[in-house]
Amino acid sequence: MLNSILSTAANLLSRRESDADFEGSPDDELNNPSQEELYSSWALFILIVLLIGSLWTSYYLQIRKIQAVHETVVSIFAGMIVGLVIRILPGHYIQDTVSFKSSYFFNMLLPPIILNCGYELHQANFFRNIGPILTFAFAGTFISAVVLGIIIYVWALLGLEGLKIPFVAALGFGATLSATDPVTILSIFNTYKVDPKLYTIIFGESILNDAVSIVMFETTQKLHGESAGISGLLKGIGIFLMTFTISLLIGSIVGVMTALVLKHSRIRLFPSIETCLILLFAYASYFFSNGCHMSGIVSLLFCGITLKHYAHYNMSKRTQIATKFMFQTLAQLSENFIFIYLGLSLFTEVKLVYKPLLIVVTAFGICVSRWASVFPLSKLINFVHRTRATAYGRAVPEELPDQYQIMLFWAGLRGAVGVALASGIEGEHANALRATILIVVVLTVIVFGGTTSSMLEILGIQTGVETDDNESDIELDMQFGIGGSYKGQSHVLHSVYAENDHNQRRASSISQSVNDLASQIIRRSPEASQGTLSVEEPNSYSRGSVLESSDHAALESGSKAQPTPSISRTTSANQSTTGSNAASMSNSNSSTPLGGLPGLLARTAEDHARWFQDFDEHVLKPVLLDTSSHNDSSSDLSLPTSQRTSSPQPSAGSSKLDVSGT
Amino acid sequence: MLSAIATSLLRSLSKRDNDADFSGSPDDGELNDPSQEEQYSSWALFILIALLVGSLWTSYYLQVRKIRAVHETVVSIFAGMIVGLIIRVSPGHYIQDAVSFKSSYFFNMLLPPIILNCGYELHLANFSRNIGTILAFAFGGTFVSAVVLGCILYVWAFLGLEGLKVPFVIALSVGATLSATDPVTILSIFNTYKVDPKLYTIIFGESILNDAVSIVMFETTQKFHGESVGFSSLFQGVGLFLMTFTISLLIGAIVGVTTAVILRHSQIKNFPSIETCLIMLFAYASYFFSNGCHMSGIVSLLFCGVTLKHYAFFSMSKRTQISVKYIFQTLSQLSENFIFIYLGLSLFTEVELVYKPVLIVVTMFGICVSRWAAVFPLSRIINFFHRARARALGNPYPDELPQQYQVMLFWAGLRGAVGVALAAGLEGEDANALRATVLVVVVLTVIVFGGTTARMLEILGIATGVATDEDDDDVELWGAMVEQRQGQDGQVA
Repeated sequence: MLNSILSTAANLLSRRESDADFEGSPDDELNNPSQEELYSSWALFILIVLLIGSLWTSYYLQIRKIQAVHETVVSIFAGMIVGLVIRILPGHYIQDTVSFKSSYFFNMLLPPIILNCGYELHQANFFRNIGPILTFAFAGTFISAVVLGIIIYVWALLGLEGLKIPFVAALGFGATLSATDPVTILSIFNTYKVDPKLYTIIFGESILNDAVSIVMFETTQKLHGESAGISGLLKGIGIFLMTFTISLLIGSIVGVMTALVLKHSRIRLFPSIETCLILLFAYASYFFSNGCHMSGIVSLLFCGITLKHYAHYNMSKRTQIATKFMFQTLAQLSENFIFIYLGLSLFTEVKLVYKPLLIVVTAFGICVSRWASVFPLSKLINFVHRTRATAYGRAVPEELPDQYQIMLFWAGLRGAVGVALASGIEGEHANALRATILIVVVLTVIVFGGTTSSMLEILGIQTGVETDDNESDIELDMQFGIGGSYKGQSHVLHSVYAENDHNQRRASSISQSVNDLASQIIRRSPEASQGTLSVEEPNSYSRGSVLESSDHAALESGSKAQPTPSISRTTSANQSTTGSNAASMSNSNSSTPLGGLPGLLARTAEDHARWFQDFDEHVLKPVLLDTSSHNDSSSDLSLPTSQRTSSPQPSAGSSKLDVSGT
Repeated sequence: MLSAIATSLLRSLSKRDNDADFSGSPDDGELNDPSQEEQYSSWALFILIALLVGSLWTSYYLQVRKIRAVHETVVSIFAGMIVGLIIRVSPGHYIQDAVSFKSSYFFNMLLPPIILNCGYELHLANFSRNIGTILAFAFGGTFVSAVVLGCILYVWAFLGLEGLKVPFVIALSVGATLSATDPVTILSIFNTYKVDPKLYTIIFGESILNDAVSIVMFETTQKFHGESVGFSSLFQGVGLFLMTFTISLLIGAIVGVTTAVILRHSQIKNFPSIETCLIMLFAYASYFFSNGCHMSGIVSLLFCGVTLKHYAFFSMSKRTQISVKYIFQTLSQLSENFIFIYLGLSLFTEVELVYKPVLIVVTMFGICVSRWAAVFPLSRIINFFHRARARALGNPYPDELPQQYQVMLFWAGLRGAVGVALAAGLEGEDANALRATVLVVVVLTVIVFGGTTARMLEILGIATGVATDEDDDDVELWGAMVEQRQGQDGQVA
């Protein structure tokens, strides 16, 4: 009923529009640039006002602590209303200007978001949960795309709406609608301070998701017209893996190159040029990768990660701050803008053909495909974790409890990437499919995004977990007068974060109290030692060790190893004078816990992680990070040197822990 | 001789291009495919970014080696020209279309950050101290320059040597187009040399208000298109101009003040990331609103920036203060560097341009004459007024603008991208020839005047190495931060 009303309304509007189009043809005199500029000014002004409104709403909602409505939903509705007004008004120039263009989306709106994601990524958490993330991102997206493709194909075969969709096109459609969008969910999670593990999994899934679905979509486009058999599937997987690897390499290489360039030049004396260059390098990786038919998203993400991991320490203080703030601001603007854009394009896109039944079927199919990808995979992940735990002979809680699984299902709202991809759909029903995708995306954002916060409450997922994001900003405001202290503080907070994560996993009251004690010590120690870099840096840099230790403690040795973080902290702080000793110890010890234990297969992930960390500390960082001392007076340049002197400690601490743990 | 070679080269290139255009037409069809199109636009953007990286790197290298004979803007233009040539010669026209100069990109994306940053970084005390001189040059000077250049072009077209028919209104609008002086090159050299802030402020203020004046003049002449120009229309034009200017200024100032009031009376300080976004958006909103109302967005944005800095700045959270400053600076630097690359590129990638060598030479000559006619008489008037005032007060007073400052002001008359962007709005049968002339003249002035500014400073013996407080700003900011932090530490302890 409602659907038919909607469709008649849409039909009416589309008729109205074609009239307007004819009427509009006399004023094709708009070729006059100054006139054109005038209209584009109005269009941009409207968009900016909408953006201001959306940000103001977000502020208002936050300050009134209203959690029933989310700003993205408000943005979409505001965009829809304004889009409707623009559509009804005579003249089509503004309408053309504000309609969704996939090239704007891919070239202007998406890069800042991805770059910021890579730059702000909590690397320790991300790589700790890399297993579930990759499973969901690759297998999950694949399953989801295939299931949705089959549903749509079957629906088209039934022939109720006279659609003819070949199987490959249906698969492409499925791939388009498999890109989940992180923005809404994650901003809600940020407000609520949800468990970082769930946050990281959803974040990682959704960001890799985009890349996967883009590559899948392009693969199906390449197979267009051919019959899809097993060979096509294998070929597709091959293309996909190659694309992914090469894109990853492009991004990392650009990031590493940037670090090297920064290290071997004196560009940090010209911080404004430096800031521009870093931004440009990151964008260059994106466009280069896209230009080579690779995935720009993957490149940019990993470029951001490498930049943060290596190049960040070679930058001047000013650049560190400027890049951080700039990426954040641009990303926030883009995010807010995308939702407005989606809402607007619902009415300002002219060619769309709305098929109500297809929309309902697709919305249903999305839920089914998400279901089919989340729950079996979660069960698989839980199973693998359980076998690994039993190999160690102890019981661990499930990696993904039921309420996390439901939350993952709920986080399956589709985003603007799908809409942008949809513009590449070809074939006779392209317009109908495009319209369907647009509406389904808007619907999922409204339905799933609007109900996430109540879902969190219903599922009883723990909220209020302290994260470091907001803290570090406040810290930053006060801290960055003195070079090392900001680093120190934020890293300590990282470790507090890790503690909490750890708490969550165990949920035992004893460990909680011990941990609280530990984190109190951690919190106090930097305040006590502020200003004296030599004491503080070891503290800060043992972040890795604490993360390692908590990880290993959780996996290997039960609650016995609980107080160790504080011990490692104090020991590493004490050992700051005997750096070389500790380094040699760590080298000799690091290999011992690997051998002679059962379940070697199950532990390979951790082994690889630790191998990479050692490699990172001892080979990459000395090569890439700036280690020379500068005669420059600015205080920030003392940071890398002190880091270097303290870099052996974390591995010393972790290896000791490994010994004690085993 | 050289110009003849250049034109024959250009002719052959434009022929080459027409060929390319025809041969390219078969693949017009497949380019409709969005993924293909996206790939080409990716390459185009990658090329632009690579050029930008190169230009910034050159700038760094020149600064580190203390090479002052060449300036990075000149290098940017040449690099852009070379790449433009390559793009033009290589087959296919999609990338060429993607990188060609579009006035809407210029006005909507590249110009706002520069103007906003100018307003935000404006040294208000210096500016208001020299406001008389600045306004005299910006208003009187630009008007004189546009009229003189317009007359020269009109007379030249009247002679009919190249078969051009340029009505007087069009000639005036070309004059207006070519009266917008560009500050970027000169000011960046001044910054490096730390030239006397007074000269700096005058050139800066003139060039920024200049843009606004020439835009408004250009639009006024466009309105008179076809009508006969008499004295009444002159008055009408002046009236229109003053109204536009005042209203634009008010829009900018009101937006700035509103932002300050909002910041003060809300708790948005607690959400610094939203705050940062909002401040940027408000500034941009003033620009686009003003442009949309047929007013001058540049003036609005400039004064919005000034008011933001003067009032809103103190109501912002610390984080926003820093991030707004850095974001404006970075975006404006990127835009500035990009504009020169864009100019160089468009010299070869613009397809429709018709190059008339003699017209270019005449215009080049006309530009020098008109700048001369604008700077020296006005300087004399300003000096006269200052002397009269000093005499009234009974104290001896040195010249407000000594001889070498006047020469430097003349030299600072290089034309910028605003002119090129405005020229896209030219109409009439010879529009393409005029557009090409404007583009070539702009590039030539940047290369000639911009390339020799450093030498000129030395020849004229203008005092350099004067300490300004621009650089100290950062240090002060840090200092304040450290103090605040220490204070809070004290409280914690």
